[in-house]
Amino acid sequence: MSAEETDKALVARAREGDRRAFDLLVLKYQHRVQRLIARYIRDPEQVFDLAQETFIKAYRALGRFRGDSAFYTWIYRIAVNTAKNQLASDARGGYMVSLNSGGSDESDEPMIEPEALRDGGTPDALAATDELRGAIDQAISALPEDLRTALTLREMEGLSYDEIASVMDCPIGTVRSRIFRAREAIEQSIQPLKGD
Amino acid sequence: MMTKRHANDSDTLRTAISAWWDDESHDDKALEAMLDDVEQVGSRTRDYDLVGSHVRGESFETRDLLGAINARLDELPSDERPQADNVVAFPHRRLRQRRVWQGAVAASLFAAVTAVGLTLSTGEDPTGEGVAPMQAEGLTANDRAVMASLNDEAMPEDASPASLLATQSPVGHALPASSSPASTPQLPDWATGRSSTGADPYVVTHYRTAAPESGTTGPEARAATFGRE
Repeated sequence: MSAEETDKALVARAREGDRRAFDLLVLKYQHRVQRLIARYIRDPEQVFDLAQETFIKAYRALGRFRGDSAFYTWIYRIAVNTAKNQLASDARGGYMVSLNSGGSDESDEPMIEPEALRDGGTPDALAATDELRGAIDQAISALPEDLRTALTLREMEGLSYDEIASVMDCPIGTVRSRIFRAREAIEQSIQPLKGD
Repeated sequence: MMTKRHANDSDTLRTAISAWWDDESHDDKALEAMLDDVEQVGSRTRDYDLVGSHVRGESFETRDLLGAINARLDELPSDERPQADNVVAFPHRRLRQRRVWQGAVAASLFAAVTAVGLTLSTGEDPTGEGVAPMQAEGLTANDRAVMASLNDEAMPEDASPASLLATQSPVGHALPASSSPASTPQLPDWATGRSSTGADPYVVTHYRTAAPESGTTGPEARAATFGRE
């Protein structure tokens, strides 16, 4: 089952009333949706609210998702429309949104820096985030070379497991295992700092 | 023994979550296991996002979006929750609208074909040339049906375009007529240009009702095509 088919299976189950299936879809796409909205909206509070709005709209419209396109395409479209509606609404209300005039890699739409998605906001939260970042850096540096390479190729370059297997000249199962082990190691390092 | 099996199960699930996060999971069983432990999926993916965002130099959101969404979904009235019926209702409504629209288009097309057929049969050629070949080659079954409907006599199934046109077109003498004149259907006078009573009211009315979106200019302009002089 491909990732697209997995999503469609989850949509089908969510339509039948299985909320856990929709939860998985939210977990998988919440970060990407927020990053996408953050390209249009600077205020992190608004980004968070609009991401909520996006998923609520999607949930209510699940019955109309016919599967002609991938789920992520559909949810991204809802997210972009929700963000644009907010921009239009803000413009009508006289609220000025500072936009970067540079076009995005996907369109000529105005966008703002993804940095607008902040890591908390309060000084304490920012300090905690800095500490977390330091711990992640240390954990990545301490990873064995093959684990670090696999993780970097995945996260930095966005390569598929198949492509990473070609680059590293190893079976795809090994790539899967290396990436998993790298994440596990980092997770254990940052666990004491997470506070949950 | 049990503990070790649990550890293996947990390892399998965590590996599956990692692969699923990367769009690389192809396992039905793993998906079922994740559905049974959404909380763990949430915890793991939050960490994965943290690591990935940091590696890419991006910021990240630490608040619990899923919790916020679920709180709002719990308040949704039941009729706003997805139901299998909705899947059918939407396309059906669209389909009905489409059928009405398609009917109007079909009626307009029929009227247009009628107009073309009648224009050709009266030999009105704005350029003054090329009418005969067009008539000989361009007469379709639709044209024959239209002409038959305008004629008191039944249209023979095997009537050829040439036989129909040989006696009607001003330039018909230039065409070979393979059928005998007796079997050639006769068009009404208004259609052949021999009458001065004006356009066929049916055709004009049909135009007006079939294509209301074309306004008044279109039908009247087209109606003029059927006028005598």
